[in-house]
Amino acid sequence: MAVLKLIATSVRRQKPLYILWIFSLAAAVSGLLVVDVFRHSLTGTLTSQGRKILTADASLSARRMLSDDEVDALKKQMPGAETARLTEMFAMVSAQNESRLTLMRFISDEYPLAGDLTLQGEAAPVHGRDLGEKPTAWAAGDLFSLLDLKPGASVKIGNQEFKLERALDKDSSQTFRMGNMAPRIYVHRKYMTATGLVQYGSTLTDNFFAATARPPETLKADLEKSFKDPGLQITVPADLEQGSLRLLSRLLDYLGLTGLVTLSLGWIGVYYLGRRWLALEAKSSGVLKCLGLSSKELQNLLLLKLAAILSCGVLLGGAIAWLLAHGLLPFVRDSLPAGFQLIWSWKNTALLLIVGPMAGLILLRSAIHDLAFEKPLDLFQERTQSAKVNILGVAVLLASVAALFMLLTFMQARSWLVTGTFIGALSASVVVVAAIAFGFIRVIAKVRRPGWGWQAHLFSAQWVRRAGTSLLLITVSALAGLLSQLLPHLEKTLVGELNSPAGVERPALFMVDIQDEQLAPLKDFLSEKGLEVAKDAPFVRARIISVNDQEFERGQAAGAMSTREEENDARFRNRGVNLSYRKELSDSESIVEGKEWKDLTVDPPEIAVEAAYAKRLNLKMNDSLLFDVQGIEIRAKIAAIRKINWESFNPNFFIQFPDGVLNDAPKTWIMAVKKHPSFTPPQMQTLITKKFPNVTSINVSEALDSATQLIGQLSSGMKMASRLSLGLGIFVFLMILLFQLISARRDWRQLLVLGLTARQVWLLQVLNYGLLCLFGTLIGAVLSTAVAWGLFKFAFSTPVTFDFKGMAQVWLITWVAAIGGLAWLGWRETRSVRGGLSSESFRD
Amino acid sequence: MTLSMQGLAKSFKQGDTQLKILEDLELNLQDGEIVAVIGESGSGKSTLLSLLAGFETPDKGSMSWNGDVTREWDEKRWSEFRKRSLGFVFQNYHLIPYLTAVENVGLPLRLTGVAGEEANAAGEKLLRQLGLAQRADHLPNQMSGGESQRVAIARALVHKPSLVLADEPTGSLDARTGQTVLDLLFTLLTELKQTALIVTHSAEVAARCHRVLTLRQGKLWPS
Repeated sequence: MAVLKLIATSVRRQKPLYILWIFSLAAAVSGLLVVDVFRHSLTGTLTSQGRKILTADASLSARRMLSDDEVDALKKQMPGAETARLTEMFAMVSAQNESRLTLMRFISDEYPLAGDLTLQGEAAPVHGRDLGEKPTAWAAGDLFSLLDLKPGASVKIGNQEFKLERALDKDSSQTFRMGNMAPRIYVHRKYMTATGLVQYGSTLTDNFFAATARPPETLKADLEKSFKDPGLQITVPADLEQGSLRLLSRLLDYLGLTGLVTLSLGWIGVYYLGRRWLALEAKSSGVLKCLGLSSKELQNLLLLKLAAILSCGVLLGGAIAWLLAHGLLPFVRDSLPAGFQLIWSWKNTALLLIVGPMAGLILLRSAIHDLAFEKPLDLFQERTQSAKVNILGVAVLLASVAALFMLLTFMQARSWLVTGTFIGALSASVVVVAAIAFGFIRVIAKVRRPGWGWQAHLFSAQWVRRAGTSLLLITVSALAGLLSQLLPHLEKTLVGELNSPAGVERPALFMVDIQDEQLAPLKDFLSEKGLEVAKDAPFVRARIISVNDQEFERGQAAGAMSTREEENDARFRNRGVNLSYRKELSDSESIVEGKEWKDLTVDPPEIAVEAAYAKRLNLKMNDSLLFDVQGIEIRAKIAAIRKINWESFNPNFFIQFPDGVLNDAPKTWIMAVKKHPSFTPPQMQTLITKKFPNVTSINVSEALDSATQLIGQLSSGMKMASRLSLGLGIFVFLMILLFQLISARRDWRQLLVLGLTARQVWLLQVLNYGLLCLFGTLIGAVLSTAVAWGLFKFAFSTPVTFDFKGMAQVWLITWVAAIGGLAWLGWRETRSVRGGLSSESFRD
Repeated sequence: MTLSMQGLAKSFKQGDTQLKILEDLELNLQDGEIVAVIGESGSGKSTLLSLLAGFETPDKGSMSWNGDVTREWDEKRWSEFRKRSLGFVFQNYHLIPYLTAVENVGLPLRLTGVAGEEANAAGEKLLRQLGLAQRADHLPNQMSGGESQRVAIARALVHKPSLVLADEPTGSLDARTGQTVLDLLFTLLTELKQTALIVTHSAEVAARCHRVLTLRQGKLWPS
């Protein structure tokens, strides 16, 4: 009780310090915590809603029709389980004179086994059996408005007419409310054949669902043992985070990393204020020691005090994060799964304790120990913040902070590659910034001359002789600047990737599922209408049986603790293989290793594999791959690794055979059609669908606009996080400045006593710190350009598009905000010092 | 130089009470005079110095400097006055911590527009006189209390001010060091025929001054 009273008394006496300290910690943790709250709420939503989203307890799916044997085998695994079937594909729907791309869902009587599928104006859920005996369809409300239809209207899907009965109201299997280019449409499976959409090689996903009481984890393990084909996906509700929410998870990863940068800036503030606190505690500690408190007891008292303050900080941070998350929810709800609810997880509490009290103790423990074990009389000596530097202590501190930061980064990104790159980039940035700042200070020390005017004389002396503070201020402003100024480059490059590069013409349509026998008539038809084919390519479905005679097994990510790389590798391994063949490389491909294939006499035939695909599947030159192409085994050898320019809008494949090997294999075709001045893409779609109803055509501009919209949403999230980080960076910068101003009060007062006016002192402060901030943000600008270049070159293998105008705007905002804050703080402080001239000058 | 204070009064509000610190105070200082002001704690010595330096404005009465009435002065004029005409010696030295000894001493000259080299030369000369030539390039935290106070004295005198205001100049020093510093201060003040007002508790300091005034009940009384 006495201890708490002591703590309360000192808090009362140093209110501004404690308030800022608590607030800086709260601000530092809240950014990261908001992201963490969303992340765990998302996982929580998927855990509670997973069964509804999947519509069952387990599903077996493939990018082909499941065979009867596979379905029977599955049924045997779950005797007595309820089952349902869904075949899903993109297809064109025509009404009167218009056609639209839709997501076609052929469902069985029992679908959905779980979750809600309801129609407008009807509360009771519907199932496949409710579609009735006649060809009836249910469609998303969007389709009605897109095709200007009313309930009861007639639409043509493939070769079959359907009555569009009602609009869908709730569909719990649809995870997101927006971003759907193709509205959903449900029809009964019994009409699948009649539509003529499902033909050999059609691009579809066939799903078999089961509702069973068996625990999902063991069920999944058993099913994976039974179904070895990597092309067969076994999904349980817990897998959904890796699937449909991948993009959102990546965004949260990015935001988490931004939050970490914010946190690191906040920690600098917490450390700095902590050292200031210890400097203020020194005298009272000396008194307590003189009164008989042992060093150990004093250390415990200080640690308790620190823990109390940090706890207040994290509690406030937690509350701010919680309120912020609720405040943000209405703006981001459309990007979140249906039924999303914010929840506070124990993992949030754990993170809060790690980034708050634990980090604070790691940062300040050594300094507290040094103070507690100092001789009592030394504690009464006048001290500055950088009084003693314990090299071993600093090394242990840096190592501990680095380890903690690495752990937090991995928790956010769940990727060793990202963790390594992020920590490496951040450490390198800090080292580069510190080295440049140190060099700058050394240069100032060298060029400083007595002949300089008194203003330059004073602030250059301060920069040089308070090098630690100067380094810190430059580093903080450079890091805040780096992060905020990186964003314009990232955004411009990401959006730029979706636009046609110079010299590349974006096609009007991209068509898939063209049957072999339809190729010639389709080309004739297009030519007759004056439409020109940009490119076409054969498309052969296959699966890899073995690599170098080793069975090609299903990729597995190791559950909740799996890394992003493991998830990606598993996804790539399990996605099935589409093969194609060409006489020669297209102009969008280039060989990076090996040679171009020409010689068809080589046995086994030589193939070229895309570089990133080869890396993910660990495929190397001369590896021997055995494919199953519709029951026929074909062996091939990797003779070339090639790079593809995906921005070329050409049809491209991961695995390319030479012409002559697969020509007789069952195949479909994909085709790109050029733009035409007389036809809009929807008009082209309608024309083609009328003649070739099974061919799916995608309006490229619409698809890219939809992707641009998505990128826009993602970049809004990124912007928001960066702005928060920038704001906190400026806040930390200003807080360090404020305490710098406060701790240098005596110096400012002296300058007033010696005859400077308050205005001159204020200008001196603004010049002194403003120039350091200017220098820091300029380093940040240069580094952001370098980091953006490195990031895209090495991590994304794509050239960066710099946005120097955007960068300059952000730089200006950063600098003006920092200088504005500095000017206000400086003026406030100068007035306070001016007001206290009488009482402070002649008193102590 | 003549300084005159006529009927000066100053009070402060503490809670609901108005504390009268100085009341109807009279003071006249002549050129070259060294005056000690003694008094009990809380008698208003610091307030007197603050009024002299322009840190506070009197409630009543007038102060004139060489016949110029200070009531008309704005902040800029007071700053100019402090810069050129006053020198300060504080109990706790108050040196600028990031300037070396010679830079600290030269600072008042630099602030009046003297070139840096010239200011440093004047500072070095004065430091030599005070036996601190070896410490010229040291920072305040590398010097002892006695050395710091000697640097502060040099800084107070380097620009040849009209008046030196000293507040307990040996208050933070041990007896021996205090004695040495005092000797140096009085030697310089006498050599330079410097007018000074020294606030002190020390009878020994007071005894070395030309005139001793006691501050009591808000007024200055000759001792």
